Amino acid sequence: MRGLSPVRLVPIRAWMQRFALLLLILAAFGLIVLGKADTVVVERLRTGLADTVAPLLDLISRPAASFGRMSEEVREISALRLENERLREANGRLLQWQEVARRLEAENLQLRGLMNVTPEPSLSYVSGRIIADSGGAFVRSVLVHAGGRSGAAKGQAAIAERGLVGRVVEVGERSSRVLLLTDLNSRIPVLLENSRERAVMAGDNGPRPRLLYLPSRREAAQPGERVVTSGQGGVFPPGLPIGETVLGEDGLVRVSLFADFDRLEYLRLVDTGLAHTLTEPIPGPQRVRQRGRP
Amino acid sequence: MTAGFLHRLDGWARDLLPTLTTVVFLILSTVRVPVAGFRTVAPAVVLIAVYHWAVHRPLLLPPSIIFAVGFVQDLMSGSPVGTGSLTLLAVYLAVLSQRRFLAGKPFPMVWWGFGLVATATFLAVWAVVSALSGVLLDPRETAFRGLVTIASYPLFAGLLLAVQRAFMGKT
Repeated sequence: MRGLSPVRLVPIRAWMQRFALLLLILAAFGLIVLGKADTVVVERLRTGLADTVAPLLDLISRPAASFGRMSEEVREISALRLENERLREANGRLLQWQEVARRLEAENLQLRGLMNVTPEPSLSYVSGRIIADSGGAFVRSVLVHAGGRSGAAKGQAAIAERGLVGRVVEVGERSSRVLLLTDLNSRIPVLLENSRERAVMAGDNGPRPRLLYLPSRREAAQPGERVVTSGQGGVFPPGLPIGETVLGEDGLVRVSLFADFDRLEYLRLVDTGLAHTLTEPIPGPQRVRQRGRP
Repeated sequence: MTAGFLHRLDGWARDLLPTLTTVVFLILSTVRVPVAGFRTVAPAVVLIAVYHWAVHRPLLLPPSIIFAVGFVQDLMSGSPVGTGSLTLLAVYLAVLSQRRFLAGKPFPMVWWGFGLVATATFLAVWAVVSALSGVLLDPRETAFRGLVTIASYPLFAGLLLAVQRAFMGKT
């Protein structure tokens, strides 16, 4: 209050401020109603703002990411020997699996050729670093530094190293928002890999999403069954790994996710080439396919 | 002339400090730190900033700025627009109406006030978001985050107090 504020002015200013306060509270109510009614305007605002601040957030999130990585490294160094042993063992096992997979792939190709199966569309990827997080809010979403300019589009699947993470819900020029699988509003058509049962995986803001619409006899599903995307709906490619079924404390069938949601840093957006047919076309050529490195 | 102008500029810059620090806290709150479990314990630092300045310098953090900060917070986090603005303005209003119990009082008293305000805020936000989404959200996480926010108040308010003492004098 230095400079130009004589004491006499303060009460008037305080009154004005109170009045403005009430008006603004009303405006906030208005915003809530508007946000419920007209999602297009809100979405445009969101993507516009995200695009504007994306470079800044990118800059700030780098040291934060390095800090995270550093603390991770310290932890890893202390467990190096054990980790090494585990990896060597895993490597041996995986080599066997590789052998099996190669044989199956060859056999598969042969059979497909025999039966004239239409080839699946090839996938391409756009990678982006996560630059912002909804934090402790009630929404589970992240902002990725890859937008329409680099080929991101609404509806694309977002994956991390180990599995599916979420779905692109908003796309700006430079950034896009990914709704995580754990969010309340997330609904993903999935397939139980062994039993071939279809279900919908629904988030509830907890770490393990529920499985909805399972046939009743599957309610007591045996835990540990792999859950993958079913590809129904046409936007997600089929067969992306998601997690394993577990029986929740509440007796519901839930999915323990493969992706480590605490340590996400880069996400890959999977482009099936089909997403574009569902939304408006993306302006500009999509030359840059790979941005950043996962 | 120049000295007068500089003095005015200086005063103006000081008057902007509450806004600036609140915006810095807002940016900090959206940055992602990839450490296990961080997202669930991240304290609501913007709430702390608004409460602090409402207690100590209410005229320098005008409602319009609070509205804008809440709005941007909603847009960035993806929560329903308007809820952020509404909660921050409600906190501001609550503090203004009880300011005589808080302004110039010893720190534990101010902290206690923050505890009450934060508890009410977290409860209200939980209820509103549950109502808007039509599902009863898990209250444990909110409770935990509320506790972390209240517990970390001295740290962040201490930072703000240091800024305030260094640049704005004691009154």
